[in-house]
Amino acid sequence: MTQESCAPAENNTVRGRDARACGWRAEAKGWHLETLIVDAEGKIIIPPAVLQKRGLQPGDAVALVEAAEGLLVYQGGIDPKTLAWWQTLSDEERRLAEAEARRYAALSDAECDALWNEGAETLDADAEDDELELPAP
Amino acid sequence: MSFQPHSVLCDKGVIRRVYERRVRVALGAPPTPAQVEAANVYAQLCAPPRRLYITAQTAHILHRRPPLIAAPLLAETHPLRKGRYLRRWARRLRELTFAPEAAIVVAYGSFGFDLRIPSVGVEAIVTTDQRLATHFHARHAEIAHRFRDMIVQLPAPYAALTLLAVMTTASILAPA
Repeated sequence: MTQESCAPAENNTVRGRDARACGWRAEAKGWHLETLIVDAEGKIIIPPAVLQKRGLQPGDAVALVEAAEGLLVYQGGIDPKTLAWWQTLSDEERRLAEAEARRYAALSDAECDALWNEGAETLDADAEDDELELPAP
Repeated sequence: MSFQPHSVLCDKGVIRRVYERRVRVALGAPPTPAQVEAANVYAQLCAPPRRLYITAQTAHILHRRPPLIAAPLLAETHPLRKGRYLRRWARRLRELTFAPEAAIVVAYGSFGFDLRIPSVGVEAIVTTDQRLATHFHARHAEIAHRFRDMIVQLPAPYAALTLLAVMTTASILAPA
């Protein structure tokens, strides 16, 4: 859910000053930081706005990751369209998809960007020949 | 999402992140927050009878990707064709300091054709480009004015077009 590299919660409590400092750093990186309070039973409540934004439903699992950066709540859930796609694949197709995915993951950021910039459109007026006229009703 | 458009153009950034979300699933690797956000929005938008569109460029890119991952995305969306006046509108958007790619996307949403219906334009564009959305909203009055000035001189059905809405994936998931 967050890759924020802030100081971890200290003694299960996020101190106000630490949280504000993390917030500034998170904001500067374009990330969103939520301060969660641990109650006496060790529970934390994820704000409803975040639940909705991330598509989390009651019963969904999230992972609590103890990383060098701190304690991170990570959403490992999967949206219904992605899940449906994965479930329609046979074992053989999954192996092929994994092989394709490995090839894609091996690309550098620049190579990925180039791939997704193929066939860029031009705005030139002299390229307007390929614009269609809507057929008459 | 309080606004429920019947026709939506997903920009390339949204489709790229949805594609990469599937790559992560195939790898058994955790997704990035941006991929989760785009995939959740895409899943919401896919609900019929909403018509989901992509640009011709996005379709071109997906056609060149492995079908196992890309083909379902092509099946769930329909590429808009470049309609007359698309580039003219894109150039006017450039005069309003839109980035070239942003201008093209907004122009596709305004003058892209679905020849199956047939129809011109969509009700909304969904983008991961926060800068595009911010710029569109900040200069909305001026864009709307320019759009009206342009279409009023055009024949039917262009003269009856309305200016689309621009939404980010984050704004769709945010509570109303």
